[in-house]
Amino acid sequence: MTGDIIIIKSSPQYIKNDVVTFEDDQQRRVTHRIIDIQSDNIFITKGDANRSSDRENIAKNQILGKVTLVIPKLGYLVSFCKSLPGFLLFIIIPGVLIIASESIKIKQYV
Amino acid sequence: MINTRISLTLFLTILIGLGLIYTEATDADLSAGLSAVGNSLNATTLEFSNRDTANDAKSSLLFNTFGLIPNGFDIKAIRVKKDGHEYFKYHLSAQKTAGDDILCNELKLEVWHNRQSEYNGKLLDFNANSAIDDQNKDDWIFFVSLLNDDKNISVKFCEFDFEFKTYRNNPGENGGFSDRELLKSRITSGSW
Repeated sequence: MTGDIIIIKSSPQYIKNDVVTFEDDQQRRVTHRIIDIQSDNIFITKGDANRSSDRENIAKNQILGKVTLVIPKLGYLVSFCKSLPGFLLFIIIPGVLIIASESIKIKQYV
Repeated sequence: MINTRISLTLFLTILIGLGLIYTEATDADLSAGLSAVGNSLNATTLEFSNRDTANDAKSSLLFNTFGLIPNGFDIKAIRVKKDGHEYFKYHLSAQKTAGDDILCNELKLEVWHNRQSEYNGKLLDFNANSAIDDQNKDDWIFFVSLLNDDKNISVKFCEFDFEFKTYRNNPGENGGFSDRELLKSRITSGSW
């Protein structure tokens, strides 16, 4: 679902109904379900919300891994973290506070 | 000064933040496509001709009558024959093309269609619909007569066409697969 975080893991073998992340011919990363396997190296995929299968079949070497864990809604936090307010909140402010605190400590020892 | 627990929390926040920032996105790639399989396109032909009923020769002229007098008549017959592949319906009508209006209006027409009486009335009012089906032919017999003995229509001529025009659904429609054939006629009245 939109906004979910997935954890993927590379596997030596992929089977029907595995949800896999792969790079398509336009180098886009897509996460879809394997609905059929034509041969060992050719997979037919389809998004669960789509009515039809993907136009391009994918080869095994295009698959980055299969989904092993889904964390719902955490993707929205990722989007926030990549924005300026999120970057300030998660990186800059904690970093400044730590540096300031350590600086004070060093001064006290000196 | 920040105590150790808060420092640890800040470190963890930075670590989580870095982890989230380096998380990559995948496309849901919403799409919908439908495939219609098993399509085929066939080209066909719709063509017909008017034939002489005696010898099956193609005919473009029907009546060519000279000296028609009151109570005189002339008879011609044609066969509509399917030359193409497609079966068709067609509309048949008579249309004046040249000549004396009075004479043309006084000409009477009796029509027999596949040996059944189809029409009896004024020549120029004739309209009929028919179809070429599995038999691939349609026979028409035309009986033209002059009943009026008015001297004003003596030594005059009337030219008219029998128009055969195919249609799919409605006789007046145009376009699509269609064919149109004309049978020309000329009738000259005699002197009395």
